[in-house]
Amino acid sequence: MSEVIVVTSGKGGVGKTTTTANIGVGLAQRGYKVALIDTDTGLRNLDLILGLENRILYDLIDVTTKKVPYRKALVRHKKFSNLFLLPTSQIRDKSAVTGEQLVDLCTEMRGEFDYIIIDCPAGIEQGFQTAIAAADHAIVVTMPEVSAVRDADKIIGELNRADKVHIKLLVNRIRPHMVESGDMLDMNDINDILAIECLGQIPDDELVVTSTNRGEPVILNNKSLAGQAYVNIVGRICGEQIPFLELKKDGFLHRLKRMLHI
Amino acid sequence: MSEDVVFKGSGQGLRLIIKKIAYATLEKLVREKLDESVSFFQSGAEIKLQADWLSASEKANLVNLFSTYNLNLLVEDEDNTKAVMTPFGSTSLPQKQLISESAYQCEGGETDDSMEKTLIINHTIRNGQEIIADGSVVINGNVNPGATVIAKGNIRVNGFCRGIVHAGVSGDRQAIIIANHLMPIQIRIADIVARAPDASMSKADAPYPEKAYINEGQIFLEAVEQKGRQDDE
Repeated sequence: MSEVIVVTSGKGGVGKTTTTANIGVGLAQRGYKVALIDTDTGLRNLDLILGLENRILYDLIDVTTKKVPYRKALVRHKKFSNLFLLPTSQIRDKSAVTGEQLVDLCTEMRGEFDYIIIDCPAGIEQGFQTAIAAADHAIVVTMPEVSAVRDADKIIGELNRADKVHIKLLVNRIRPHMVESGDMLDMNDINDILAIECLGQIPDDELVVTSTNRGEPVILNNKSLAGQAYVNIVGRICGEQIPFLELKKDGFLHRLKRMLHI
Repeated sequence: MSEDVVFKGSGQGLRLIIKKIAYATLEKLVREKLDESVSFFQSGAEIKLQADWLSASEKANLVNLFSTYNLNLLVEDEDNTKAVMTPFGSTSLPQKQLISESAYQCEGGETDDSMEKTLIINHTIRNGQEIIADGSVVINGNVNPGATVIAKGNIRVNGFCRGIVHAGVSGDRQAIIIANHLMPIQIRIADIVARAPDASMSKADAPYPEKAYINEGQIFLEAVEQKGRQDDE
């Protein structure tokens, strides 16, 4: 029983690729065999976040055009031998892959992997349509910001139109002190509009930036609150009941500690 | 009589549905219909023709007629005319149509009664989605910001109304809009437009059901009397 999950958002820069990488690593940590497919052709990033750029030989386009079998294009993760990346081309553009090709590829890969996670490009054009074609489940990433919530709403409508019904929400980059002072949308505001099940709430965390630059997903950093949130999200994907993290305003001491990473 | 020619909005856009009648009558009816409702359409709007029984030359004539109104009539080959003719509420809709329209599930156009044509939509209308109804519309769900609901008749939202709502679009100033929580970006009734205050609105600004209507050329909002029914919040 393998599952194909697409991570999408509509708006750019809300953390689709970061989420894909972290969920992938989290599931691999639990022992599942996981494949991550980057469909952001021309603007690929997933390989960077995973620190695998230097290992890429073939890409998604080589696979969909039947130049090589998919196993040849998969890049094995450095730390987790059961985590694989199928990178996309940086030279071609979104028109190089079609939804049908991706469906065929996922059908072929399902036999081998427990989870196939597709990183979707921003936008609602062909790249998006291609990325969602094969998915059983969708994770919509948004931020507590009016424009990001608006775009998430649009994306949910588009997913419904494509007959995708298993849609969950992930709210990224929450700043608890701003929510508390009323300067940022809170979860109630977001739920009022989107009204879909929430998979997780991730606090804004500088460690995400550091880990992205180093190519080590933040989920591996047990000092990071965002990392902890991703661990919980992975648990929820596996069907566990995990309460949401308490994202209260930090005390001064706590914040100082976090700044010093102790 | 005029129900032989019907415009209908749906997830796939607008459609022109024509019953099997003599072409000469038909062209006259279409012309009347267009004259009466041309302001309802945006210039350049695309409308699909559903009347397979017409000959190619008759279809071409209609396309020409529409182009004089700056409208594009698209000739469709699909044979689901029958399904569309089924009055609303009937369960005999083919599965195919239900699926293809599942994003909007627009159904209406009661063809044998010109008085009431109510479109019922049982889900939330999300950002970027648009509902166009040839009569009144009831939405059992929310109208989210960025969504648009346009109706020739009244609009009722059993939920939050945060998008743009336009009732009485062909000029009916008697049309009303009711929502459990009426906080739209814009309310339009017939040719009158009212917009939301510039400060962003929250749930607390619309805690109870309200009705929007035109009085002396202005749009008014008024609380709707609750008859022994608690707000379903």
